[in-house]
Amino acid sequence: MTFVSLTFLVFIAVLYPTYRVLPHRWQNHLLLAGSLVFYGWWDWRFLILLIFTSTLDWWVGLKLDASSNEPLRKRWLVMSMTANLGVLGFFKYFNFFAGSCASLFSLFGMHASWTTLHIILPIGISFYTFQSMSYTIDVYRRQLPACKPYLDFLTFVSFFPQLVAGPINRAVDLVPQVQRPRVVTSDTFTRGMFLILLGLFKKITVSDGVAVSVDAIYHRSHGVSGPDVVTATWLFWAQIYGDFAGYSDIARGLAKIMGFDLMTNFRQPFFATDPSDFWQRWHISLSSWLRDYLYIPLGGNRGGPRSTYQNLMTTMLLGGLWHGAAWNYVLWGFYQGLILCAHRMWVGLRIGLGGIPLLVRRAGVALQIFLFFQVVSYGWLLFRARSFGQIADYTRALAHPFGPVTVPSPSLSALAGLGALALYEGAQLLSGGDARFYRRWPAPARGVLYATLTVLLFMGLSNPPSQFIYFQF
Amino acid sequence: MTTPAAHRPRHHDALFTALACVCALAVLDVAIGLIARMPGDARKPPSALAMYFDFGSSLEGKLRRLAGPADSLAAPVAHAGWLDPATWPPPQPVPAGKRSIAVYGQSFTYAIMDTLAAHDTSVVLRPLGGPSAPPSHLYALWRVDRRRTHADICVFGLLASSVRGMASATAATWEFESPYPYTYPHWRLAGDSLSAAWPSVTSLAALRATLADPARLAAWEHELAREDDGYEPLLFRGGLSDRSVLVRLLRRAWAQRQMRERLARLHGAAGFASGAEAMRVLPVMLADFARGVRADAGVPVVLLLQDQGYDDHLVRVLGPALRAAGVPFVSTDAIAPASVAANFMPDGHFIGPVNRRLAAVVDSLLGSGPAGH
Repeated sequence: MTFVSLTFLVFIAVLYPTYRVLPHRWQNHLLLAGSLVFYGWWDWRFLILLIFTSTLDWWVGLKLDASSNEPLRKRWLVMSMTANLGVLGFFKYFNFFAGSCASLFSLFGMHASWTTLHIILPIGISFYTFQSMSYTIDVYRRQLPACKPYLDFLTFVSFFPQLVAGPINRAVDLVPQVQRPRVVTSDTFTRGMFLILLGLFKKITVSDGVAVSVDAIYHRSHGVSGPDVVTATWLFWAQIYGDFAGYSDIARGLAKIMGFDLMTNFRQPFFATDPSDFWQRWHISLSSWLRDYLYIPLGGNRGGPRSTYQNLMTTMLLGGLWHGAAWNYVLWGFYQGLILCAHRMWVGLRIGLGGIPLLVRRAGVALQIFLFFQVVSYGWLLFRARSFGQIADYTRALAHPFGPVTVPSPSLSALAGLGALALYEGAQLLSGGDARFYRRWPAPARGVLYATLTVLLFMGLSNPPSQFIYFQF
Repeated sequence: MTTPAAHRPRHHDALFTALACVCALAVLDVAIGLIARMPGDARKPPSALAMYFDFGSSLEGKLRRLAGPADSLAAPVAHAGWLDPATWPPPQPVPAGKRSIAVYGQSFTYAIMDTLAAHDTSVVLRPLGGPSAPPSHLYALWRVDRRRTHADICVFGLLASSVRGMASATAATWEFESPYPYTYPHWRLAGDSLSAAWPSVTSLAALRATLADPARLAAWEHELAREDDGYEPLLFRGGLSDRSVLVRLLRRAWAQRQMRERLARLHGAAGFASGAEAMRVLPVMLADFARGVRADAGVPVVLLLQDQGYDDHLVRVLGPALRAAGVPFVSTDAIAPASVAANFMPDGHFIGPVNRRLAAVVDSLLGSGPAGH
């Protein structure tokens, strides 16, 4: 079930009041049962995989914790990693690689009869696999004691608000929250409810609202002008942000009203000034995961420029592939790696700006934001395109900036939603990026903010609904 | 002395904020209602903003507004599409040497046939139909019309996006957001032929009288509940709820959901569902239309109008049956594929050049005899 369904409304209406009246232990049992129902609602067979990998990681965690024999501990860790990545690789990438190899052979006139299985991609497998892997790695590194109660561990992995699309929380943050009694204050409750409202607004009003216009261009095979590509890609920026940040907000809000604190996944990515800044604002839970568990272990920036660029490219290529089993995601990852490397080179060359007046410096930052926005937008073109042919066609179209705009206009609710989102993000930026900036407003002003979001949400409810984009990852 | 906000107990602050939110919602509801108010006179076109916030008004409320207190005060669209011949324009005499063409359709069909008539002065058109008219409405029109007049050629414009109206008895229910009040029978398959449940409301005057009489309104609702797949009490009944913008927005969302679910049962990305009632009724309906026109010494022509989202779905389902019955037809997908956005205007209609190409094909068909294009 998804957060934006009537089924989920019933689910949470039953689960939440019960949760609030139960003692801590029983709360955990209820959360576990609820999470399994939530996940099994898609397909009960997915549960088998979830329980299998979780059980394995829990058991390996105990072994890692109990042992002081380092070679043996390493073997336990390798076993856990192999199992997790093996399951992920099989279910997510088998058909992709088999198909790609068959295509490659056919280029040379060889017809390989690869077996392509009809493998169903278990929803959210990339998210919970990474979350579970972080646990074993942290226990291996002795940054976290093993979680001994099995049910607590299962609750940590399957915690329904973040199970299928993140944020990918670290065991070191979430396991202790599962194990200790939680407190829901009036403050956390209202903040959680606001996050849920904000998330629903982002998803339903903004993302679903612009989806029709984006699809109209990206589903077209010809007759697309340069301005069409630019407009549709800008709108896709808004769509994917509304979709994913909306999901993360709802997840964090749901967790908060139950006394949990999940990590922030987005910090106003539209205002990023460079690639490094972008990855500190976009899908933070994944980028920090890749940094801590891939980039730094690879050597990070400790081995000189050449090695740093190699590590950056490896990390971003794998980050791209994490998103989906398709070559355009790999290309997107390559592009992200490339701009990160280019930025790193540029930073090395950059001259100091100390003597430049503040106003000019600010104008420069605004220009930088605008220009970098276009750089990220091109990345979204790679991400959204349906084929390499389309990428080539649309890239060529960008060379002709004057042409007719045939993108269907988004609905009134979407346009109003985009405007409201821009105002909200702008206000947050002016407050120094503080996500709780509105909490300092007087109660009547907050009331107006909540009411406005509610009206916009109601307006957006008639947008054609679309599945959360990140569910496929 | 007042307590500073920072020192006020947290739960008081939350309650105060909730109260402020409720008050702000009420103010926004009233303010939007005032700014986006529908004009009192149904004959005047509403602003785009007023229409947007009126999409979710109840059907009853919208029908009352469209019908107005008298025919002279009704919205122009309220006069269209009724099956009552008394409301139709009188048949024009056809000058000698000219061919009369009865056109049963909607805006798509009219645009093609008007283009044809503009270039071919040997034809005289007699258009009958309604906005978004579904096949069941056009079939009923033809059956009533053939008793009154003769036409040398009868054109049946079958619009793909209107097929969903076949499960209804009025274009008000399945076009919830911008309803058309006219009614028509719900045709069902009875063995090899069709049976009709004719509506009790067949004219604008009858609709106005029904809306004014609670007992008749209840009876009509009962009839709709039986015959109209798109009828739903939550969407039909109005009253005080129509005064609230927020309720209207929620009702619109619910209506959209219902319409999506109904459409999904009939049509998907792969085409029309072969098991749907409309798909079983349509071949029989078109065969009967062709037989009847020929029995009246006329030439039947069917236009399969596949608008955006429908690719070649109509011709795939109906083409074989039409060819087998020797019914001349034109399918738009061969001339203007629905997947090519450039073939369509922003409002979804075909662009002028496409209408000209289609008109030329229809014209050549009228001269060349039965064939499918």
